[in-house]
Amino acid sequence: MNHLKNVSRRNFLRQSSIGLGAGIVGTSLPSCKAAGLNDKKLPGEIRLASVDLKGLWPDTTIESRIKRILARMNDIAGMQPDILCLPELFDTIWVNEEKSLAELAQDEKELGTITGIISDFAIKNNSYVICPVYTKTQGHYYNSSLLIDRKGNIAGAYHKMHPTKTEIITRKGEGVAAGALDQPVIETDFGKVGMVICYDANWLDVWDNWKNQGADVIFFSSAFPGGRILNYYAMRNSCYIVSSTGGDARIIDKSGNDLDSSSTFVRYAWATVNTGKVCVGTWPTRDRLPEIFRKYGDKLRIKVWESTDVITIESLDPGLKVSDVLKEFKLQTNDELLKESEEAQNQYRL
Amino acid sequence: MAKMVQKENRLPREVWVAALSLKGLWPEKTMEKRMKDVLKRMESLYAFEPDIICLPETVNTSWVNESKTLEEVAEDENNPGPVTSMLADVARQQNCYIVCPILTKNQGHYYNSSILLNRQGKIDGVFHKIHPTTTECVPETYYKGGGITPGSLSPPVFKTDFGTIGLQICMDAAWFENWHYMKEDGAEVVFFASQASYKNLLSHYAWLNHYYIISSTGEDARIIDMTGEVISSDGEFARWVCAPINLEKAFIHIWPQVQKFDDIQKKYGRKIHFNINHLENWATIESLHPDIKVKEVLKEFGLPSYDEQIREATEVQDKYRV
Repeated sequence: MNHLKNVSRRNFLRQSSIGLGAGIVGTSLPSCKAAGLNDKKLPGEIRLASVDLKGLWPDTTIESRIKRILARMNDIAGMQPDILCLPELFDTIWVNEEKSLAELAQDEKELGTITGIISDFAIKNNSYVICPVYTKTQGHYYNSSLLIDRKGNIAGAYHKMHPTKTEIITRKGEGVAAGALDQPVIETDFGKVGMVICYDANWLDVWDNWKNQGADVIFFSSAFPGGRILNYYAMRNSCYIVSSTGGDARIIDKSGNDLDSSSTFVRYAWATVNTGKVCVGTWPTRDRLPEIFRKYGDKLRIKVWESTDVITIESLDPGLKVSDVLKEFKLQTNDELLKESEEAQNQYRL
Repeated sequence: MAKMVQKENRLPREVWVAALSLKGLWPEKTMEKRMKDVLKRMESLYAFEPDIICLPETVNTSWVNESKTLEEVAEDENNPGPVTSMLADVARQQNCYIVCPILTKNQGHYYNSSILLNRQGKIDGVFHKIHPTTTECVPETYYKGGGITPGSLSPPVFKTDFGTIGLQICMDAAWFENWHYMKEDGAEVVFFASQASYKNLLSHYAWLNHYYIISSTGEDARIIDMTGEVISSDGEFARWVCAPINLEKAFIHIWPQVQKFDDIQKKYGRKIHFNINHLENWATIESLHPDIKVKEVLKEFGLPSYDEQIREATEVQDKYRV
């Protein structure tokens, strides 16, 4: 990338940060240390964050795009996210600068120009980052999401399983390959993550691949927002979905409901969630709630989601496990209920 | 309230679908009183000349306190019992199909079923709940005198004079596969009789399978478009729904098809209607003119259906997958 050649990664970040500094003067973002957020973390707790691309496209150059998205990322950095998600091909999508895939594609092992910038952000903020860029490995190009860890290293890569026809067969003759259908979840220090990119959302196998591997959070980087497609798969997979798209950013609960979304004047979303949260059916949970409240009071967060017919239970006390509460009150998770029902049905089916 | 609709003024594939909510009619003491109340509620629908009415799961016994054995309550699938006959009379009088969900017996087995009555009041088919609850299955747990046998994992679809329909009951909603099989077998509308509403999940099944879903439950009644949008739902002042749906409609992916929408609109004007779901990148295209078939418009402008597009994309991806 010629335009970036004369700017080192770190200088570029510094310059961006100076610009950002001017941007946040007068806002009331707390100092991370003053907030003392890390001291209060519960087991299984994750701080999720995501930025959208709205208002940042079209753009003239990759450099401009990176500066602007870094500013947006820094806006939410004070939340001390454990992980921050970026949109599909955040450096190049709807950027008018013409580059070949060979020029754009980042290495999947060694940090490149773009991944290096994101790596610096990850180190500085002690955060994982979902970094969706073109990559090249073993002679093939991919539309990928790289997972950058807290130390700024590339912890894993996901290759878009279902690119569009025009991504695969391009006019210039250099297209991306389709990713393998059995890509593994990536382990982090807060749980298992899976990634989905844009057009992928239309195929069940992508989502089922992550469900079968027990992903705790799925990160959806995309040009299009996804809408209710994402709500369905969050519910079906009983896992959190974080979306970062050209139109919005959302954090979707295991119950299939939105926890947060970007809005007209705030183009990022965040939420603190817990991997230990479980989904149970309205029945018979509803009958046992008063007794659960009496015994555990505010040690549990219980929410009824009428629109998806689910009750979620999560522990707010490090010494209290939700699984023990379910056992004590003879409650089953939705998955357990379906498994037990299926066994009975198979026993009595002709 | 809409005016009575004359059948001759309808579009060729316009179907008036209706469903009843059971809300406010439970708990109930006797089955006789329940059916009296249900019949009364159904009367509000007749002015619309519905083509089909869907009733809630085990319409005569859900949340009725009368203590009966399965043998006493279950109706023969081949020899209509009292509830089937009562609703068959309505079907004949109103010249409509009725989805009649009751407990049935067949060859020594009990089922939680939906009987499809045709416009002549005859049984056109029976659907057996595929996924009864554990307490329904295990004898002497929920029902006295036996248990419910789960239906086939591959649900039948039924041909009616307005299109192909599927039926599902309550907890069947928790299994995705049933809904997918009905799509593969050509279902255009699925009627869901239930105690529980299953709210958003039904909307999801509608867009996943590109068919309409009509629900009749203990909590609500809804007509859901193939995009998952709710066309009509019951409420405080009317515990029923009745509305037209148009089966001359196709579900398409928006990209790159949207680039041709203007040209189509310019040519056909109000005769073609697009509904765009911007966030999901889908659209539906619907014909509002008796002589225009959506399939022909899609062909004329080289637009694939959603399924065709996904099939073609999958082929290309598989070819270039590493």
